[in-house]
Amino acid sequence: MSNILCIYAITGSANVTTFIQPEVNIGIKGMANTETFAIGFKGISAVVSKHHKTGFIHNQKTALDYAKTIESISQTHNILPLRFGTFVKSRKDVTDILSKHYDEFVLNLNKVNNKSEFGLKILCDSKQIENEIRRKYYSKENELKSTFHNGTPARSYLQAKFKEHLIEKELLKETDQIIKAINKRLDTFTSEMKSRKMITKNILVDAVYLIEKNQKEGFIDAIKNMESQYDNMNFVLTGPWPPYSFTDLTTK
Amino acid sequence: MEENKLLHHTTSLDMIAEDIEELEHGLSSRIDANPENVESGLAKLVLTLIELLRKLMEKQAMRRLEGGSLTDEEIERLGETLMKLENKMEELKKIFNLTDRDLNINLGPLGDLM
Repeated sequence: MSNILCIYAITGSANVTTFIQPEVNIGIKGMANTETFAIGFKGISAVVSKHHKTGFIHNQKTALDYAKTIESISQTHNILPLRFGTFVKSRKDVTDILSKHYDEFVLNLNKVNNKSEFGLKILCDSKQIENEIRRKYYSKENELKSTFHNGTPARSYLQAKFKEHLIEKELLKETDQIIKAINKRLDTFTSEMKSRKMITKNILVDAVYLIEKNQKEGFIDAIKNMESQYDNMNFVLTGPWPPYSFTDLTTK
Repeated sequence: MEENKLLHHTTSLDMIAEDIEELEHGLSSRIDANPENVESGLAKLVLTLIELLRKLMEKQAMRRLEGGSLTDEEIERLGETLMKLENKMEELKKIFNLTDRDLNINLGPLGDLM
């Protein structure tokens, strides 16, 4: 029965002291209770575990085990987490990946060194905000009446669509203002951030921040203080996570 | 992952769970075609694409309206076209037993279709 290697993360770098020695069992369990060990190349290494090619099941449990392993490694090492399901056939494939993407890995490792990822979701009652905007637009609606006079079904339809469009536009504008204000406040803590807006009706902002590990407490306090300034919004802060969102890697 | 990852929240976690469920539906929805349901699988694919195009047309129409460059006649025609398109989509969704949620796809940085 042939084996495959699962890669969890890339760790170490030329100027980072937390390099895992190659071929050493690092004492952290991998998926399906396997042992993990490192395969090295010029000061960086890939943390891997060995599995039988047949019989390995991709399911929620193995995905969670994979995440747990990455989490455990990140507790003591500077890492670039890889995507669940990163399998290769041999040790040579691992060293080939490390060699081919060496510069990219070192660059990313230096970027995330001593940093963790934090997630911030800002939830709101979107209906309430929409109603406020609707009230604001009541006057504007009168202006629109000249455009949509002669209320044929087609014009009434278009008028309703246009009104929704204006409300959505205003909601996006308000969300942008919130993101801008928040980022300004968090700027001193943040090395890098990414955000998406209005990913669902209630999640107005979904952001991730890359923060120096020693800035964690200050960052949490800043979030709590900010929340008190936004009456109708709820902040949900999670972390610290391995830097999943800040490593742009291609391992093909 | 023994460490508590939820550092701060003041809202009910049920509210978040509902929204996460909504997101998961978008992520997990795939075109599910097999010999038994090939018609429905393809209908879902085709209708999703049509819906994407319809939404793009609608956005473009809104931009033109905002620009204020449309004549009375053009406004009438635009309204009629968009209305008929939406009605036709509703008919097709009913025929293939599909809902708006089924036709939702994640457009990456552009967000969800629906």
